[in-house]
Amino acid sequence: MRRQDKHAVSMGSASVPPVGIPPTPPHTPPLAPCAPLPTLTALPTEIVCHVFSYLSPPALAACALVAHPLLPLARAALYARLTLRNQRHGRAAAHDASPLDEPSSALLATLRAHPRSLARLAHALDFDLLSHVGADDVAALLADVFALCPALTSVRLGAGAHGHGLPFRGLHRGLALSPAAAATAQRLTRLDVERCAGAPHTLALVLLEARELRALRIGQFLLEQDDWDLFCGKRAPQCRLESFVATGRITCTAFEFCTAASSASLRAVELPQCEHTALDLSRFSALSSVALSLFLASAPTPFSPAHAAFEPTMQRLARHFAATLASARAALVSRVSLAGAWDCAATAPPGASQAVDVVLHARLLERLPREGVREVVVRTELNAIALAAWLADDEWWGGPARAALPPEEEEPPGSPAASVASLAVSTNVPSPVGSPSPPPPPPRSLSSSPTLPPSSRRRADVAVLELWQKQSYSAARREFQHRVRERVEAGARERGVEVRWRMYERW
Amino acid sequence: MASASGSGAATGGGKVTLTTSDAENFVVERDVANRSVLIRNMLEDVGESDQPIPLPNVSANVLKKVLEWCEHHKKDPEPIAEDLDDNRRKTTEISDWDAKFIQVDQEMLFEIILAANYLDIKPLLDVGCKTVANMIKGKQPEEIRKL
Repeated sequence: MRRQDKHAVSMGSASVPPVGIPPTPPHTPPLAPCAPLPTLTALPTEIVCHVFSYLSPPALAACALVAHPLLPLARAALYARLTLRNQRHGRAAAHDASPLDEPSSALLATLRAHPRSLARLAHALDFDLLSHVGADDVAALLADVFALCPALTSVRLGAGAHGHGLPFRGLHRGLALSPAAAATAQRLTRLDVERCAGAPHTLALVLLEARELRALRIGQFLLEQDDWDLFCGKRAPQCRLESFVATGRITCTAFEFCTAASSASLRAVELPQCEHTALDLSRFSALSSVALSLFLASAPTPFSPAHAAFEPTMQRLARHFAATLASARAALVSRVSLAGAWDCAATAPPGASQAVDVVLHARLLERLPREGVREVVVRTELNAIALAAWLADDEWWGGPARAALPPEEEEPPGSPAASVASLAVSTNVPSPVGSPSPPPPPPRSLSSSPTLPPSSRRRADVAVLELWQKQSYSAARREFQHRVRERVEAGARERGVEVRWRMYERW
Repeated sequence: MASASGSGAATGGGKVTLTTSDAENFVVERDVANRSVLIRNMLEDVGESDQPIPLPNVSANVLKKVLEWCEHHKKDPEPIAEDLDDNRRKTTEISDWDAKFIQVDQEMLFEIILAANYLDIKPLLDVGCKTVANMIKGKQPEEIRKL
């Protein structure tokens, strides 16, 4: 009775008769207190920031409206990167107006209005010129941004107008125009001037000031010893790089200059490799990842990868490629990536780059270090014949494939290893660009290949193979690529290697 | 793969015993456990020892998932320096295997993220955070609030 009264009061009105609740069946379990479902706001701040780092500005703006605790985090992510452009769609800039376009000008105006709350949130500058701006204007603009945003530590300067690179001297002068801007150079930890161009000594002078630099990405950098001596007074940068990427041609002097103080810190490099020189990586004790962009600095004539005139050039490239990797203390390098580039547009016919790449890379695989390297990435569609031959090469892999192990002396016709071998013998693989196919390598017979006993030769360490194929809109071509994937995977399975396939449209 | 045992911490050569918050033991290969920087550092600190490693912030069902990921990625090279990723557009692309692995209910997803953060497994943390970011993309604040 007392319980019924309490229930009536809890209903808010004494006049409401008590509700007759059916008796609880004895088999019904008692209701356990239900834990609330985790929500985004329940995650630790650093994880929310990590999530936000993957979001675009519109998504961040939506997150800022979700809950009060998320507002400062979304705002910090929103203003962390300054994306400045000058897209004017062909129209001339008004006199005395900002050289930037309207959204970028509005962004800078907002930062100027809130220098303490918003401008301090900016950590990265992403600056691309899409319409022409003079070098002096670029310098003034950069100096203004550097002075306005005292927390900038990362700078990416993109292309200038009309396909020209944004000049190095714009950056150099921008850093020198005011003490506040000069302080930025000493704070920089990441610098990306891949698409910039200009006199090499100008970039060298910037690097001399950037003492905290940890990651550097450059394009072409043809620094010579005279530049180093004359303009830099033989001084070398003090930055201890952890990552160094060069996507264009660089001289050995430029490489030595950039990494002068990075012997103990450099962990990842991406370098161009041509047939003329081998790069010395022996002084880097912490190096664990090497990516080489291969190119030919001079084209043999006539231009045909299958022509005999190519052979000496390719042999030189293979020799220097092997020497570069050998200098990198192969036991420490766990990841090797190959990419193709062509640097001789004056003599190469259109599409020639890929024709060379498919030949070159498959042959260069035989030059990879067998020990230490666990992951091999090839960012070019390989010639399937040469690739299958490499996978079937017992000597390189340090022993026969699983299917070739005794007691089976000969492979049955339908076995995976036999299909790989037969691919090397019978498949006529068309080149992706229609160039002449390279001469097929001599057929490798698994039973006749010089296999050493497993105890005398260590098996290759390669465990992951990442291969790229060019995206095609031809059904026949796609079907061919599918067959290649199947056969290569079969061969890789026999070696215990995982294959990851990727597609590329164009580099 | 990890094997769970209810008692004891018997470990053979190259094996490590991990004890979860609900007192369940997992015996795993050292290569698998070394994907966690936290565990790797602890192993280096204690040296050769059969003592189980306590993980008081991770429950057994979550650790099982985490070890599944570590087992699959045990041969992956160490993540390299962040290069210039901060300066370029971050991609939310996830590999096929990881995408299937992370297809769990939201509670488990957040638990995996928290465990990856605690165990210091950055690639797994990246996968989890990318998944959450993909869930947020294109949604209105009201919809995000329900996540």
